[in-house]
Amino acid sequence: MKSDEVRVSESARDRESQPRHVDDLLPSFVNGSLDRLQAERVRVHLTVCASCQTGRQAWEAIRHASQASVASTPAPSADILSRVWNEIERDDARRRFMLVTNSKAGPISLVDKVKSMLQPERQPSRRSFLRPLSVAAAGAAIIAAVALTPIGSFAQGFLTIFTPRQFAAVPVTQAELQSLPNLDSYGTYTNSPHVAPRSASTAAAASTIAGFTVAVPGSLPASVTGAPSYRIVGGQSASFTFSAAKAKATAAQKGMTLPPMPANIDGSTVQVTTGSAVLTTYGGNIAKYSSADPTVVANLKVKETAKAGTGSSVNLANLPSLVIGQTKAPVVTSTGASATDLEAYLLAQPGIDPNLAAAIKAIGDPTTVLPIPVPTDKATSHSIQVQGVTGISVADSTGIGGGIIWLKGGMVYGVAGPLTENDLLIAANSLQ
Amino acid sequence: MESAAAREIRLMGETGVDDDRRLLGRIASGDRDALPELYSRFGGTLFRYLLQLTNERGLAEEVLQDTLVGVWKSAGSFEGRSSVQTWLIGIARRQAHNSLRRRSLPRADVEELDDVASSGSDPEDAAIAQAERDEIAAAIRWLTPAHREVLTLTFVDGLSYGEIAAIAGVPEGTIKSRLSNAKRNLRVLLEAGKEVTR
Repeated sequence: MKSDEVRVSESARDRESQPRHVDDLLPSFVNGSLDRLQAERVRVHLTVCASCQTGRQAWEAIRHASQASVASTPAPSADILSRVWNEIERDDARRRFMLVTNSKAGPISLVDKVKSMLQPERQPSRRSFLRPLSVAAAGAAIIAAVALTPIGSFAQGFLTIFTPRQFAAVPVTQAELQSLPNLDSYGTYTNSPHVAPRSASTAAAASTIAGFTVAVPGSLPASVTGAPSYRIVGGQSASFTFSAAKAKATAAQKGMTLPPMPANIDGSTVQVTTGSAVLTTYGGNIAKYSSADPTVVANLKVKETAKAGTGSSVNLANLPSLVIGQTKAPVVTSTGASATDLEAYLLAQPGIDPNLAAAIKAIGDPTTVLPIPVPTDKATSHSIQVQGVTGISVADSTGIGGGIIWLKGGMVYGVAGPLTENDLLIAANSLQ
Repeated sequence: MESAAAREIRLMGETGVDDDRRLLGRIASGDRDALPELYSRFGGTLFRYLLQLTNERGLAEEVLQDTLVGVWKSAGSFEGRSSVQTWLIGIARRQAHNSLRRRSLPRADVEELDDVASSGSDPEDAAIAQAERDEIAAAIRWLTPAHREVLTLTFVDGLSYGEIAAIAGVPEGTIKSRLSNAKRNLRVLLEAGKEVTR
């Protein structure tokens, strides 16, 4: 097949012996896009060339037909802009999710997340109150989040006003997570001042600072060695005040219509208060993970190699071999709306994935049960008996490790690390 | 010498161009009021173009949505080397091709063109010039996506060869050939239609 360009050249050569025709200019003459000089040249030529005059008539006929063929084009659906804003919101959420989970790094994000949460500068930010619990990308991240950033872990907590007595795992896809509304659009919130975390070298010292007795493991997996370090994070408080006017104005900007905010929610302030949290960390080295599943160790080594290839500074030698988190269960209060009211209102917002809404509703009592979203592409979860209560075990889908989280006696506990579930359970059950 | 009226029209056109660019600048800076404004200006053009390209309303809407999201995200990359309309249609085209590729549907790529010679013979032109408008409109619907696209951009959106070439990412000569080939195929389709009705 000859290219279009070649055909044009041949066509031009064929016509060298004829008067200088303008047929290749006729479409742009007919649509009025020719510049003045060229248009004039065509106009003059048409007065003396019957062939090109017929050509012009043909193009005119095609122009009329083209315009007629689109004249009856229906208007796009009225909700296009609303769909666009929803997609943009989801994209924003996706970016936030990527920032939080560093998912490009794959399973190594578990390591990064734990490490980042151990760093004082990564304390809960204003945004973290709003974030979906994307830190639940891995078991360790969940534990660290609960231990260090209870408010952050309460990103889902915008649905609840309660003192949690139980956790419930909600397997979610990224798309479902992204469908969650951005609370920015529904009101304003404030955070208590950031307090730098403190360190302690003994459990007794950590207990004094935290104001509660820090549980210590009576038994550790063989791979977990060395003295633990303790980091204590002060209590946090964040409040959010709903505003129907702001929600309406934001929605209008996006060309959306929101369901009306109930009067008892408008102006209502929800406050999340967390007590001090203590994170007990056992440093480790990949070479010491002798009791871990060989696949786990192999995965870590592979990831370490891959990471080294990217020039990243991640050093698995710094990977904690066990993290134990402990904090008083957070309390959520409201000046008006009940947890049930808020859940009903927020789950009715446009764009929320109906499967996710159904899953959250199916949990039941929103006043005592905290949903823990578990991204289906990164982790798996199931209920587990720990310390005589029902907790949740979350495993990183690559087999690198996981965590167990549970509530008992008004305290939230979690253990996590690159260990098998059995090893984690041994550590969890030995806490006293 | 340019007449006063012509000058006024030219200045109005330039003002419109500036307005479009300012609007895009507002989108680039995150002004959420600007996107609905842009949509009210160009939404119809984009949808019409996409409908011609995809021949399917649902798909055209889906691509229109993707296009607007793309505009929101990439407005800052507009360098002003083309009109805003041309830039928008270019984005819509890329989004449409991505969607069509995913669905394995025909795209307006050059490889879709029929292997017909390009020329403007008298009999061909006369047949088209004498055909009924509705007959030609019906025949247009049977053209390849590439030919429908070039006709729409030329005669509905009034774009120049250079603008269409920029959108399609091909030389201007290719656009001229596509137009010529589209006309040739129209004549063939009109002839075929007459034979069927005989």
